[in-house]
Amino acid sequence: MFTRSLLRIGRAASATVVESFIAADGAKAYQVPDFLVVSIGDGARLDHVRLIEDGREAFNISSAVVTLGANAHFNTFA
Amino acid sequence: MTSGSNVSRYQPVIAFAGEGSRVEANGVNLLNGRQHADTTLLLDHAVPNCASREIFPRCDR
Repeated sequence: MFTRSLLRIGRAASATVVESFIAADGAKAYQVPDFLVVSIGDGARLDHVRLIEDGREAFNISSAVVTLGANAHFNTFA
Repeated sequence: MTSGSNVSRYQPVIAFAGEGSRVEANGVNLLNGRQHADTTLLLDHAVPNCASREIFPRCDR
C-alpha cells in the first residue's frame, strides 16, 4: 500500500497528528512506503508523533516534506 | 518512536518559509538484534530569525 497524505494547518490554527504503523496479526514481510506533505500556516502550530511498530520482517521507508510560514511552530517526535 | 520493523528509514525535509518560526525534531529508536533504523533530516533555514533543535537518542533493548 502506497499511502500519501496532504495536511494543511491554516493560519493561527493548531493540531496534533499521530501516525501509527502497526502490524496486523500474522503479518510477515511487507513494505510501507509512506509520504506526508504538510503546510503550516502563519502563526499555526503542529504537534506530530510517529509510532513505528511494524512487524519484525517489515520495511518502513517513509518521507515527509514540511513547510512553515511565519511565526509557526512544528514539534515532531519520530 | 521506532520499535518495530526490520528496516526503518525516515527522511523528513523541513523548510522555514517565514521568519520567527521554530522546529523541535525529536525521536527515539528502541531496537534489538539486527533491527536497523535511520533518520535523515534536512532542515532548510531559508529565512532569518528561525530556530531548530534536534534530539535523536538510540537505545538497545
